[in-house]
This record gives sequence, C-alpha cells and structure tokens, in this order.
Amino acid sequence: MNNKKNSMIKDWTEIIIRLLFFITMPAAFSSGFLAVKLMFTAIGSAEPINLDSMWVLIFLVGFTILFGRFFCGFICAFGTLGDAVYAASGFVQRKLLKRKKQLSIPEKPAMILQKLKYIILFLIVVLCALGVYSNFSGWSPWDVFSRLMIFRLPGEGYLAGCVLLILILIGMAFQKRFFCQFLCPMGAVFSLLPILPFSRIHRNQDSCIKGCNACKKNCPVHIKLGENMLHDGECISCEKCRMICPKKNLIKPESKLFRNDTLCLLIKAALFFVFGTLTGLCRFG
Amino acid sequence: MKNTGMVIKFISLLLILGSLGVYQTIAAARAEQRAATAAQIKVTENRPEKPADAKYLDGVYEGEGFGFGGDIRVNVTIKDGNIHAIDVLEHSGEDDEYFRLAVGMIDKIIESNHPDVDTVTGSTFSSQGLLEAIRSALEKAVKS
Repeated sequence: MNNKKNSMIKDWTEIIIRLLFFITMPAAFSSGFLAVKLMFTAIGSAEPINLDSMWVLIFLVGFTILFGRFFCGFICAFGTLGDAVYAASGFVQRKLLKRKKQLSIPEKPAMILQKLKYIILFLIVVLCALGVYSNFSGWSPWDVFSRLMIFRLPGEGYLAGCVLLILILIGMAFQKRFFCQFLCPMGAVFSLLPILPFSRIHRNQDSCIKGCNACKKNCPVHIKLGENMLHDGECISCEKCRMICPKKNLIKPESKLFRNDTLCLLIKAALFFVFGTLTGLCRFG
Repeated sequence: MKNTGMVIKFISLLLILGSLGVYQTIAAARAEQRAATAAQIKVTENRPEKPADAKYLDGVYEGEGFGFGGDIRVNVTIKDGNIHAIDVLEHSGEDDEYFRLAVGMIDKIIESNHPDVDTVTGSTFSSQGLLEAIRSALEKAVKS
C-alpha cells in the first residue's frame, strides 16, 4: 500500500516537472545544440570560438556528467512530446482499435537504428565546418517545433522541416522515445559523455526474481542492465526501470544519500531550473 | 573491469577539451593579430567628420521588425550624418541565446555605416527581424 502511494507521488512529480520545463524551456535542446553547431562553424572558418554562446553547452555537458542524462529523461521538450504522443497513440490503439499490445519496432532493428543519431550528428557537424549549414536551415524539424511552441506558423522555406517533423511525430506514435534514441544529435553528444558512478543505476542481479526482466521490458531505450556496460550511454535516466522493479533492486547511490527518490528528482529539477535560467534557457527569463 | 567504458570516455573528453583549448588559444592569437592590422588601416582612412554625401539626417529614429516570436523595436541615432548608435528597445519575443547572436550585427552596421550586413547563422529569425527594424528606422532618416 505504502509502495503504491510512493510510486504515485513519484509519477505525479515527474508529470509536474516535465510540464514545467515543457512550458518554460521548450527550446533548451536546440539552444544547447546551437552551441555545438556554432563551435564547428567557428572551427571551420578558423575563427576563435565565441565563449558567450558556449555556456549553455558547458552547463548541459557538466550537468550530464554529474547527474546522468536527467536532461533527456525529464527536461527536454522533445522527449516530453515523444512520450505524450506515444501515450496518446497507445490509448487510441487499445481503446479504439482494440489492440492488446501497442505496435512498436522490434528490439534488434531498434538497437541498430540507435546508431543513426551519430551519423546525423556527424553530418550536421561537417556541414557546419564547411560553412554550408545555413543552406539547410529549412530542414530542421526542431526549428519548426520551437516556432510552433510560441504559436507561430513556421515561415516559408520550412517545408522540409515540417515534413520531417510530421514523420518524426508518426515515428513517436510507434516507438517509445523514437526521436531521442534514433535521431537526436544532442543525445548522441550526451551518450558519448562519461557519467559519474554516483549517478548510474546498479542492478543487484543476485536478488532478482528468476526470469523477471521487468526492468529490461520497461526500458524505452533497450538497455540491458548489468549485461552490457558499453551500451549504458544510451540510458536517459528516465527511471522507468526503477519505478517498475518489484524488488527495488535497481540502486542509484544518490538516492541512498537522500533516501527518497522524489526528493532527488526535485533537487535535480530545481538545480537545473536555476542554472538553466542563468544560462538563458528559460523563455520567460 | 566495470568502469572501463567510463575511463575511456573520460580520457576522450579530456582529449577533446584539450584540443579545443589549444585551438582556441591559437585562433584567439590570430584574431588579435588581424584586429591589430585592421586597426592600423582604419586610422589611415578615418571616417570624415561630416561627409558631403552623408545619406542620413541627424536625429533619433525608431524602427520595427518581426523577429522569432514578436516585434523587435530599435532606436537608431544618426550623428554627423553617420549611424552613431543602435539601441534595442524591445525584443521580448526572442530567445535570449539567439538574440545575443543577432545583436553582434549591430557593431558591424555601425562600423560599416550601412545596414547591408549578413544575417547571423543559427539565428536567422532574430537577425532578420533586427535588420528589418534597423532598416525601417534608417528609411525614416534618409535625406529626401
């Protein structure tokens, strides 16, 4: 009973945190990635990098090394959009089409598709360094998205971006975290970062129920906890595995320190909000 | 080894940061050198106090443009027939990060004394809006 109440509190905390950041920092990921693009544009033209525009990136990278990809799991508006679309599509499939199981991409091809984001990151970075990226600015689906977030229609020349956004939305309906794990170039940067052991999830496999695997099945990005450490960069710190584990076998050292998962989430969200606002991510700042 | 992955990632991160640091030092030194030569040239061909062909009438002119998420308003000050100062009055619809980039154009416009500068890559909406505002202010300042 108490457990049920606890997980309900955690669920609602998550919803509130994500809504708050969806409204206040909808362009955080594109601001962060803008810094990556500017860095390579500067290098391509042999100019010094403008440090003023790098603070967002330094902050996001530092935060991720310290706390894991909390940004991906809870802050990023595109991730929240993806989860909302997937949930809505699940509702439609179950209630209206009477499907028992929601359609989704099988695990093997999904694991291969996860590499696609590195190719996208590489392409964008090369285009920036060559100085021709601005010719492709109409292709960016997240420019279209940030435009829509402030209730403006994307201007002319954004047809390619609109089409891509619609395709991504369709993908989101059939795969959890479709954009995050397959396409996001910022996610590619994050998954290459080292994350302090303090913020990583450890699985106490010895005391697992035999053949349970609830954590693996519930993971939106196909992580096999405790089996393949190299793949761990994909973890978006969404905590879905920890919420479902019937034996509370998934341990994060940080929550031992505070003894309360909800408190941990709130502290991280507050830290992010303060420093994010300082680096200019808040649209009302 | 449990933490091999993390150690490798840490080493690569340090290597990347290191090479970026080296790059930045070299590029900054080069940019400084270029600026020094540019300053020398500037001294020799200093802007005339009041050119006979000054395009603009002295005064303060307001202009408006549409940026990323709203109106951008500026005051352009003309002094001795030249663009003397550009003050941004309103930019509430812009994303800070992007607008900061666009504002870089202002120095170029004042320096070159005309608004025909390139928009800033990565900040197309904000810089187009800002440029539109400056141009509309300058239209009012043109000698008829």
